[in-house]
Amino acid sequence: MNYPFWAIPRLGGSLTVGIVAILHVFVAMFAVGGGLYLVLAERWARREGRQEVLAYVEAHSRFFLLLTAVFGALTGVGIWFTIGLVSPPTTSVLIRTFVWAWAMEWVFFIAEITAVLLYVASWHRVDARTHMLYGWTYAVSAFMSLVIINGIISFMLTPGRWLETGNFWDGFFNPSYWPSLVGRSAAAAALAGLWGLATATGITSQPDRDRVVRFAAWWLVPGALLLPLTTIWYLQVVPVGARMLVLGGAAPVSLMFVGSVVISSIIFAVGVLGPLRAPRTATSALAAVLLAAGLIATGGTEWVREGIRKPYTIYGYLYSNGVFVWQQPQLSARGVLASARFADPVRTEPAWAAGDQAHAQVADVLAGQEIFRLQCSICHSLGGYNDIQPLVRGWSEAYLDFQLAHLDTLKPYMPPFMGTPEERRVLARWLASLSPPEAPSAAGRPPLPGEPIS
Amino acid sequence: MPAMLPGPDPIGIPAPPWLLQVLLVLTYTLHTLFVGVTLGGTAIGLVSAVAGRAHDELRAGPARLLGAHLSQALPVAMAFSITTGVAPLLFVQVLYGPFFYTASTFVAWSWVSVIPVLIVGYYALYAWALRRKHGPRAPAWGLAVTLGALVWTAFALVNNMSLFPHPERYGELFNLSGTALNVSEPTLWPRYVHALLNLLLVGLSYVLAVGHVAARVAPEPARRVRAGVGGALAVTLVLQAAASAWYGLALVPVVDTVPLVRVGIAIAVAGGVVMAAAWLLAERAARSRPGGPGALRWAAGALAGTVAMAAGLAVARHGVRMDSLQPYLQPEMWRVDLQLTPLVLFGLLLVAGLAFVAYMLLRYPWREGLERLQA
Repeated sequence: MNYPFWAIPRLGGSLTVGIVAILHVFVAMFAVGGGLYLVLAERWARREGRQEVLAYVEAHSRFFLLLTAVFGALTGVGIWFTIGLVSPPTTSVLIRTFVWAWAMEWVFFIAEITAVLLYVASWHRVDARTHMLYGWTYAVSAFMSLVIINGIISFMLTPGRWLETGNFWDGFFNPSYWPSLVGRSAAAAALAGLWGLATATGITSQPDRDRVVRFAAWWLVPGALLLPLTTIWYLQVVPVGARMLVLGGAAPVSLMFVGSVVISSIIFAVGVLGPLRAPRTATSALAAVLLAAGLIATGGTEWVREGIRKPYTIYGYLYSNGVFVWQQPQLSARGVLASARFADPVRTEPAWAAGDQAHAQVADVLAGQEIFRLQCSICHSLGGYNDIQPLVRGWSEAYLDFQLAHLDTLKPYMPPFMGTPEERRVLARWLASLSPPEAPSAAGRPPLPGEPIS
Repeated sequence: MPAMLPGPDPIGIPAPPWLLQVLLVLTYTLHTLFVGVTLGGTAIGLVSAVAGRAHDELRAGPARLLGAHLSQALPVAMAFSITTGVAPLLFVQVLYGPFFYTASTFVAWSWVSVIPVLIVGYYALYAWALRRKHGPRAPAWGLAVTLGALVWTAFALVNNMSLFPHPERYGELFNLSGTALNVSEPTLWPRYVHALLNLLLVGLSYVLAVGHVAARVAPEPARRVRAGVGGALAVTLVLQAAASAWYGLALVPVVDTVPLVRVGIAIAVAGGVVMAAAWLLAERAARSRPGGPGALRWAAGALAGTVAMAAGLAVARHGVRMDSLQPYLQPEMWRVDLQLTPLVLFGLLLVAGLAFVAYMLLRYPWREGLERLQA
């Protein structure tokens, strides 16, 4: 309400943010786990004097740099760009609350980038001890950046005592901080293993190839053991409403959760029964399939995490449509069209309010569309992602008005409608115009509230 | 006409505004230095790569020297350009969020295009750098793509940064599609040209410094590099003086000269004079002893002048921004909710982190890198 709206055709804002974020998380978590993978692999190779393995680690580090320092870094900035465009109030709250956390993360970024550039550039140029120093610095810095960003991400779902105190540390070390950190660390290790498998299959010497494949596959084990536990732990600490969405309250969320669990289980099972137990089964094709499955599992998990936070972007504080919870009474009294700072002036000309019947119908359509844009478009598009049209197909205006009047009660992942009763009816009218109601069946239908019982 | 403005945030800023503004200017200066090396270095590298195709050693030698160094340095400079860009973006949003987010939405597509464009540009840079390792005749298309990406990114940033301090123009650019460009803003083009020339000056200064250091191992190619780049620096300084006058004239009807702007301009001009004079003196010292301590001391002085020039411009721009926003800044926008322990922790971490980074850098065998310049 407080900011202008950026209409992204077909995708909508939330999916746009989601795409950028999922791609970033997939690479960033590899960066976290992969940093430790590199330095432990190098230590192992040096201890056993395995030059071919050391050559593999060197090649893997160059690939690692190209992927994480370019795509990983820029998609991270991309998240920032997109959330600032799609949800400025959320971004503003997060930045003002956690700017010093991000500043600390920035220090670790500087150390991280310096370390990884030196690590890759100094193969055969420095002694082993210095090289390992660079590697460990990267690994620790990357992990610390996860430690910090995890506080901010987990805060959005479980702000905890911050809601009362507004204190930085209450918000940072919020209820879901620790299960989220342990879970993400385990996932980072798993992703390091998947990427390691993908590059290990290129080793030509068979004995070394087998050893490295097994080494990479071992990195799946922490995830296999810890992720089920951290998932249960996480679901225990999230708000009841969020937990219920996973456990059947919202079918798409439940399905995506089950799907992510199944795919993750397959990855771990295949990784343990295949490459870990029998390294020769690890072909490039299998590694690529596991990597793709890892991307799907990562995406699914992040989608569920975002989904169970609905209807909020900051739980109990800020709704997805940019309205703070305390603004609701004011909006209901004053109206959303009068309150929105960047409502389209063409669409909010209150002809209908002034009683100009000649233009009322046209003005209603425009106003209804504007109310939809202000309150609903953050999640629902027209003809694209989470398209509103099939969701209201065949519903009458009266039925839609009833739904809107009880929106958050009927659907716990939806915010309450905020606006005057007249605005609600105008929105219902516009939604109904998207698809005319179907004719009643011969068997009849139950009467709607307010309708006479025949 | 009343400006379209969001209301103030419910949460205050976590430190006094003066501290956040100082951090903004400092980190922005650091960012422009790295971007200058990247953008200016890429432009120079592109010219040099084309010149390096010549069969005569007079042109090919210096080009080889430059190519050998830039293929190592530019990816590093790009990495730090991105990393150092994070901090000023952070502080801009803390201080000016309501304005910044609003303006960004109007120009959303050009703003967000920076990300995929930079990804392509960065990979193109690596494509050139990795090919360059195998021989000096690596095709220059990678550098051309990178330069294009950086030039576009600079435009997208100037497009947004020249809009958000002017809420009186929000109504004109209001749109839902995010396709507006701020090209009707009278200060946009002079500001953009001025910014590009400033970045080029930083890049030229950097390459001149490389030319002095490389004189120890390849005196004649290094001298030719310095001659070419020195000439380019002189021409760019003249162009920058003209661009500064153009930008200054464009600013006059928009904003009155404020003390901070005057101070910034004074620092920038002083820095530019020191830079130019020190490069002349460095070249004079290099004639008697290439790569000697005298030449290197003057080179260090010239780099200090370059840094001062960049810092002065950052201060001046901040003054212009503050003056533009003054009628719209409400006291509640900068209500302070101090977060002392996180701030102190950040400060301690910054000092410790930078010290450790310096320690890592000191352990790297830079002398070997110098010898590789002959490759």
